[in-house]
Amino acid sequence: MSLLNISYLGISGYVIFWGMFVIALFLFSRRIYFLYKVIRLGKGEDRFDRIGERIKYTLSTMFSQRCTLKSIKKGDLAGIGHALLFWGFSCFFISYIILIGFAEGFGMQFLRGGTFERAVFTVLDIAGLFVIFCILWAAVRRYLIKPDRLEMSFEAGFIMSMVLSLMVLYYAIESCRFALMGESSRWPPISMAIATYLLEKNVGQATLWGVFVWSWWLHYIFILVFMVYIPYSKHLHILVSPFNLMFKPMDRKVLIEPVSSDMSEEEMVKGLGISGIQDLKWKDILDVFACAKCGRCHINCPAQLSGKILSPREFIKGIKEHTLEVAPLLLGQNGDKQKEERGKTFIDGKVKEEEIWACTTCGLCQEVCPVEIEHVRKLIGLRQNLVLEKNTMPEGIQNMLRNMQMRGNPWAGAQSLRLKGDWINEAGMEPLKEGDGISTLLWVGCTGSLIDRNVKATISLAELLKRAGIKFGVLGEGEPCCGDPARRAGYDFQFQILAEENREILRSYNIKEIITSCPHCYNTLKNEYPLYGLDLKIIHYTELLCDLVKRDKLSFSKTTGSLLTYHDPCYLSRYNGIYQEPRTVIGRIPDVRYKEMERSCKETFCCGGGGAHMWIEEKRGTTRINHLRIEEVTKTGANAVITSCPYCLQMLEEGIESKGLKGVLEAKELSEVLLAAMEKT
Amino acid sequence: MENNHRNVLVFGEVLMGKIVPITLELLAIGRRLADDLGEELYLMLLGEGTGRLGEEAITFGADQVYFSEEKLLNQYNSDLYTHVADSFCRRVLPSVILFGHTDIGCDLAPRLNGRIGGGLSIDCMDLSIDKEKKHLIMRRPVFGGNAIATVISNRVPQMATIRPKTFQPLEKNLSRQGDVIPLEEKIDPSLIKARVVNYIKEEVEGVKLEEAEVVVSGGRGIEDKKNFTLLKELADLLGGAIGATRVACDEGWVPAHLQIGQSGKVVSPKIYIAIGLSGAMAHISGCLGSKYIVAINKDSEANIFNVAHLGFVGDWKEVLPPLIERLRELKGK
Amino acid sequence: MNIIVCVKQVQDPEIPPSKFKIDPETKQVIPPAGVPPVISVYDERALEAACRLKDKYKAKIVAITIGTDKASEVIRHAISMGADDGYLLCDPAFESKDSFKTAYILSKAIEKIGAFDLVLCGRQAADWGAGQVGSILGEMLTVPVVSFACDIDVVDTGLRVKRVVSDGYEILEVPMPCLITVSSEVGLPRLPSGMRIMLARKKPIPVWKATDINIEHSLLEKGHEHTEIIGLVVPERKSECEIIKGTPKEAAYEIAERLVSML
Repeated sequence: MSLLNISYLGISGYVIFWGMFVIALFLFSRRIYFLYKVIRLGKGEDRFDRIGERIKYTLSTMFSQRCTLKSIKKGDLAGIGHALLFWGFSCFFISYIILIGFAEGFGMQFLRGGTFERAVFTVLDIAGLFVIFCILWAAVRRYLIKPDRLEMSFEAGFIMSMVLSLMVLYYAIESCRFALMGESSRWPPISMAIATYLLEKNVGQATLWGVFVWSWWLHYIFILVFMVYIPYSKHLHILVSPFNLMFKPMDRKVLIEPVSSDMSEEEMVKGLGISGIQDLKWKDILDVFACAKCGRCHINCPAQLSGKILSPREFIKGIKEHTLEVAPLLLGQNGDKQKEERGKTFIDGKVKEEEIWACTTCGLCQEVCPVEIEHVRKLIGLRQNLVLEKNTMPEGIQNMLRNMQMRGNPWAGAQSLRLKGDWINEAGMEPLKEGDGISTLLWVGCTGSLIDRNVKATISLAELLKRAGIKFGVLGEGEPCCGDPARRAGYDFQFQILAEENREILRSYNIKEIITSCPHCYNTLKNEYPLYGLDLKIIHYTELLCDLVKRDKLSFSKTTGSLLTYHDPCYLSRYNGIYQEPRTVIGRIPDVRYKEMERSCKETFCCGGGGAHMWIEEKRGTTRINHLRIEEVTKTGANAVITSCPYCLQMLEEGIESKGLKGVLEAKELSEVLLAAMEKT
Repeated sequence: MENNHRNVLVFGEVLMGKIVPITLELLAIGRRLADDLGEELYLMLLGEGTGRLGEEAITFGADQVYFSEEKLLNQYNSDLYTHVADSFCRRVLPSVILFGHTDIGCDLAPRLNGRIGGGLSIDCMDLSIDKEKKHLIMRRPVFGGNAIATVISNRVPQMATIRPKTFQPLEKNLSRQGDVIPLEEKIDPSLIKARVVNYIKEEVEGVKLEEAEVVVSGGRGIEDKKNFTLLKELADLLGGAIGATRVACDEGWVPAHLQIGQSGKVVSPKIYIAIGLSGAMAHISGCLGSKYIVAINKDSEANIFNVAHLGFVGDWKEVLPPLIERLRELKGK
Repeated sequence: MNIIVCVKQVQDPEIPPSKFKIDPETKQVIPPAGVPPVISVYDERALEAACRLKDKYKAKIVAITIGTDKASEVIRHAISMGADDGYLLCDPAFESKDSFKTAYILSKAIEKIGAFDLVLCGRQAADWGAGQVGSILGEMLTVPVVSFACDIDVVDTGLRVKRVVSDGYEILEVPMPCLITVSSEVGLPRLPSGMRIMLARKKPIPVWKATDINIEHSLLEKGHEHTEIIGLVVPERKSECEIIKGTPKEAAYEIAERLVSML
């Protein structure tokens, strides 16, 4: 029996059915087309390479729900709820197409009846239970438990009641239908059980019919309302996030968009970096539509956790709101309005200047984001605009950049100049000379060669390498800055100038491979220099040491005594996937006592020093990022926290000192710990 | 040097009707130079009421005091002073002119030199006479105090500005004789090109940095603005002033006018307490005249220990509170 | 308003004493390896003062420097900060430490640049620090001179200049054209904007030789120096520092006793 064959107030069911559908589809498509045009406002960027790989990744991530389930190991069970809801609702979605669309709409009644239908309803019956359970759980969580990462919102409540109604209506329709048919069977279990109950209670046929008809139409209307509402709400993520997964950056988590230096003066006047949505890439706009405001970024962001104004969730929300506000004007044909909108910027509108500087570029937001949103490059783009165009930046950043420009290193003053290159005497080394046949360079980095504490670590590293029989040279006083702090601070041209100068320097020495001691130099040289014509083999020292211990070129004979833990530098683990190597090396220390921190490897927590934050005074906030990290270190009970980054080392030491833990806990560079574990030669 | 320039001229400064200490110091060194040259020592004083100061100047070593009671010269004006000094020098042809390395000297000496084409060295720390050649030999720090240059002038007059407190004034000698001679030249006010329209006195809490007997100075190691209050507390306790390095000023921890060093102020206090500053020469050159330097720094290799007399290697944050407390106790007694 | 700023490239004044080397024979300073020369502190502030005028009023800034071909870097720096043009005065004959010669060369270059309203100089160079080139140049150009400015603004009669004195500031008014020397109290020089960095990189910097600016060669010959450096030494600093041993508290007490005994 088809409800559409019946006339309602003289109108054929088919007309009503398709009429409503066309209206809904029109509203839906109009919105989707609008969103498409908004996305097209962004600048071009090729994210269509390796398309097969991208599709495979998307499907496998989506259907396995790996994206939301990855946080459950940290006790965040909401991922399970989402997965159940996703799988459950997917079943319903398919059933809507088959049973409502094809069977009713197109009158393909052969799809109904029989074992197939029974199997489908059995699945839906069970899926419906999961969905109802998840919705109730979600409501309890959002409105009673109120976890930090969620916000109270009308949207969420509306969607939840919508979904819940759909489920209730589903059971109403099916049980009434079965009762009317007078069938009795075990399957589908729930609808059939209710139907049996209704029959037992002798509910009249007319009542059953009335409930059935009205529930069916209500159900259909709800589905259409839901369809139209999705692209207007945060549930847009249902449609957009698969594409966002597909167009993610492929090899690296965090990309930064360089400011083109080939611009003409007129182009430069139009703007540098990101000042409004016109300056975003299309993927950046897609990002904001993919956001489901799940808040995983919010509860993991070190800036947010230390009480700063920045929240990645709110940041993305701000951009989305701004985009939806100005995009209609930009898309309008009125030329004047376009000009007017050109002046509308994020900065101190939806996004505050303070937020932009609060980011340490640690990338944890991107790591935990289930839908591959790229927060960092938007923030850096906004910095580029502030620094290159508006010339406003924190004082520390200005001093650092001036130093870099005038003196070729970010560290100011006499202290820095005293040491650059001087340490090599202490390590018994000579700077590299042209024609000495050495093709391996130890790139020390500014911090490792200028700051007393870090120089000690550098000397240990040089000693380790010598003992392992590695032939390498250093540039000493001739070693320039890699430019990382300039790029992270948004002063991109200075970075590019340095990159080009360094390419020439390195070429002149005929260097084949570079060992870096600093993860920031590593990331810059390895991932960002190729664009400027320098494509050498870049190895971080932890990779090299891992290789050496595996080949037994380096071995340790003394135990350390203390309980160790390892702090993963963001730019090594998250940015470049190097976290197993240092652990392998530490594991070779005899009788080593080691305990892992809660946040480690790819999901390590920032020390507070990245993204040029070594030069920004950490002012506002409830605590300091490095203090938070030290608290996490103390939870392990370790006596020594090992790291392999000069910034981390400084920040951890500062944290230990200001928390009054000196003597209980010490911070060490990996090279220092390893050297101590070796017999003196 | 074959010429008809003779005698040593000191350009004197007067404040509140009194000859300022630096002028007395200049008279002392001027006296020595004049004696070595076998010439006379002149002093020039400008402004109302300077005539009666002539006799006193003679007791401090001058042979002849030239003064102008011209009202227009009461306040320093670069254009007028340059004119008066220029026309005076063209008349009396001194072979040596000495200025204080002061607000007036630093402005006037280069301008006068530009006009009469002599040879000038500023910020001299030592002067002597090559008796054979009758040359003035000037020694001055260069490269921010990293080196000392010895300079001579191939032109006359040979001019120098001298850092205050470099020389001791002579004992007052009431038996000294000399002449006090008025300058009668009328001054044309239209010579004034740059007119002073206002004067803003910076209110200094407590003692002025340049005059302080004790200076407590901080650098990069102080780390932030609020930490300077501790330095101020120490300075107040010792009746001194606070100073800072370029970095500390650039960071905005203290106002720019407290900067000591090559690109800031030059101080020569009795006691200079350097806290958390490494002692870049550019800074040291501004406090090199200090009689006693105390340094507190974490880094035992810091350059400040090369110039200090008393030092402690350690964290100033652990030293200052007990130091202040102990000073209170000692002063309380 | 046409502004000319005279700048100088100097050895980095922030270098540690251990890196400072001289040749006593030639009385020259040996540039330390690996330490790039920088723009002299006060000159950069003079540029900043010029740029601030340009921010507020219509102004054209021209930067000039005397030096080796490396010194084109300071001109580039000037352009990146905001100068419109720059010239490098480079000729073996220009090599001199004499302030009069320097001022003479600058005056001839300024003559060639043409009409100006304001010439800005740093009050003193960060290397030899003769502290008089500006004043001498002013006399040569026969314009009024104001020294040690920390703020410059335009008024009806010309310029209003805030001048640093030891216990405060003097406010002066001076007609244009004039020459002003600038003190560090101007404040921190700006960080060049991205656009200006790229502009400065592309901009050709003309080099002027003696013949280009009608220099009378005889005036630059040896013997015309007004002053002469006859000796250069690095003062021997024997460390006489008495290092206090012990805990910070003990040290504090020791220092306190000594201070009180001296006052």
